[in-house]
Amino acid sequence: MVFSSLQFILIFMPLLFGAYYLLPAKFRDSVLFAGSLCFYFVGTVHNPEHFILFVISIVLDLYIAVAIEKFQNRKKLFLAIGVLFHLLCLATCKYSGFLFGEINKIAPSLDLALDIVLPIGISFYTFQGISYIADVYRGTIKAEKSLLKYGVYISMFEQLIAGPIVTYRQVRKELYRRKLTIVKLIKGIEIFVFGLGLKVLLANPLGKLWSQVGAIGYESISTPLAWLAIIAYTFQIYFDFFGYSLMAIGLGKMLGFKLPKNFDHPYTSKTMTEFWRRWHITLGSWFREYVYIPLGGNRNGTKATVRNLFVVWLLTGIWHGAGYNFILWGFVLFLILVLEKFYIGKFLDSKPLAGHIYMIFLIPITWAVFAIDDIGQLGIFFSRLFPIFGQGFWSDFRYDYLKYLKDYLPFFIVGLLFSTKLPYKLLKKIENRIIIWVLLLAVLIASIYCMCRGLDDPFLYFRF
Amino acid sequence: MNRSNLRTLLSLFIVVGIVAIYAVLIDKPEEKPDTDNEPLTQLSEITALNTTPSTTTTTATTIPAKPVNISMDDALFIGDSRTVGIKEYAGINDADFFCTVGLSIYNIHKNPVDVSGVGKVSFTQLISNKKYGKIYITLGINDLGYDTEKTMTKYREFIDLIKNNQPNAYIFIQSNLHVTQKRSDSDEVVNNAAINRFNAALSEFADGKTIFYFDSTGLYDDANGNLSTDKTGDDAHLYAKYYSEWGHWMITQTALLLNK
Repeated sequence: MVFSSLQFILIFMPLLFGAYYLLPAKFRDSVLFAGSLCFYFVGTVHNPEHFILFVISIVLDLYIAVAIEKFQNRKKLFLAIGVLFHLLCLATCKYSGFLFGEINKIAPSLDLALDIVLPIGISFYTFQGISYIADVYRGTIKAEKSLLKYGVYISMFEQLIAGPIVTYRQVRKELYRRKLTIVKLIKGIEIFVFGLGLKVLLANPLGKLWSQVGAIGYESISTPLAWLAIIAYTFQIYFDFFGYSLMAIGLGKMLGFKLPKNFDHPYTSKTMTEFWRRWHITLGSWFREYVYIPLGGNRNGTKATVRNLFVVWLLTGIWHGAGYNFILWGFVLFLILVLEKFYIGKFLDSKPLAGHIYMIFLIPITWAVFAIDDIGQLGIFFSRLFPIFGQGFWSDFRYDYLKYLKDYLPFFIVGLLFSTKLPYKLLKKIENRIIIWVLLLAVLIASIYCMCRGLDDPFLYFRF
Repeated sequence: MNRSNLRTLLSLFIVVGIVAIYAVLIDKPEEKPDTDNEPLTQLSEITALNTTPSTTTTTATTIPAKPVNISMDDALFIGDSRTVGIKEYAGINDADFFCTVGLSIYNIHKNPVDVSGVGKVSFTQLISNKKYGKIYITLGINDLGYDTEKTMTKYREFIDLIKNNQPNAYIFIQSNLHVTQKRSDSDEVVNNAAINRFNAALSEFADGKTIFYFDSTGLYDDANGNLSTDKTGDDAHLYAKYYSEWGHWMITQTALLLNK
């Protein structure tokens, strides 16, 4: 069940929020936990074993953390058990299919091909579980004693399947004491509807152009169309994920939780380093806190820093998916970040124009590596982006780009606009006026209309 | 263990138990034997028909190495997104194309279409104002959801309309290409069994004199009779690079038929 579905908006939300607000406060945790489990069950209805795995991981986390706290002399062992459990589940579900597929290509006689369906949200709840166990191990938080509270924390439906990656520390206070106010509820609805609009009215249409170009085949597109397509994907992935995160934050607010911000105008960055501080902020923080710093961060000299960055970006790459392109993508980001850290970062920071031009060029290119999972196809796509390497500038269909530009120009303009800070500043100015409600109502109606027409599609980040 | 945790744990245990029973009971979507894809009697007849040289039907076998030289300046292509692909990528620049994405026998008279060199016209306007020698129709994939009998009546009316306005034109009814197995298995409407049935019905219009049936259904199929996955990016449409081949195949078949 996705947030941008009629099923979620017209059935799940009224039922859950109805029970959550109308029943006495003491039942709120139970309502939220049960509702979130229902939400997850609907998503895993064809693979109920995923649901069982999820429940097991919740119970295991709770008692592992309790054991870490109780048996201080053996806490390392319990930490290892907890982390290994999560990593093994993640690796088995996410990477074994790819790995066996590759072995099968080399030795088909072994017949190792496996078709493993990735459990929804496993990349996210695994990271939350690890962060919780690690924090208890480090003593930065006390182990949660209530299974219900911990269950609510991990399973909260609004962040369960595509983040933001919330740490226990961030929501502990609200797990025990959260205030529901009409102001929060209204604000939450506003944020939710705005996120829904970004997803349904902007990301989906732009994503269609990217799909269309895939259906044409990269070898048959002109260079301008290749650029249009990758820019469309650049906007799609942003508004898709940003929209989703906003919906999650809005729902969190409606439930009385303050979820962390996941995006901070990443496309206005001057360097890739800055970009990754502004893009999927909760994932970046997780890797910094639970991988980069434990490895030594930048405290042990240049060589060790480069090694640590390499590890973090390789892991970031493969966290996003099982495929050679994700490894390559992580490696490319690592190279760019090292280059910026030691050579050009300061220059780009001090010269905003140069920084923006550099990023306008670099962002779509790195997304191309991310988006195209077949390395051969990726090569063809790059030969279209840069015709100097390939078969020329145009395609058999001479003005292909004009056809698509005509259809998609309004979406590109709105996408560009909403990538800057300007519209958000304007919205801030009118946030308490009635006009904002008129606008959001229009967005809601338009979004529901598109959903009814079947123009919604799953979130990109659900496959991670 | 405190009482509250015991209660939660017990509830979870019951939930997991129910889900586990459900897991055992549910029918996992399996690879079911594709009985739907069994050739219909009607289709078998056509296949049989095609084993001997036919004057009504031409069947896809191989793709011509070289295009046959035949004038296409009197040709009109009518069709949906797949014909749009022919228009854009096949390089048949002399012909006219009355095609849009989603075009079907039910909506062909609904909206005017921009025909290059002619302007925005309705279908009736186009065929009553310009004379064609060859008319290619590739419609059907968007009509699969409708009642076949009703659709065929509409199709018959459509062909009659063309014949009345273009008495000297040859009409080539093109079969609908298959979709991939993935699409076929997951789509109750657009699947290869339905496409085969539809094509079989289309082939009945051929009279061997002025109306011919081009059976290119299997041209881009895999060994199992589904559109080959390496020839499509969206499970339904050919990659652009194949439209040129397909167009040349049509031209070659036209030349062969007309020479006969």
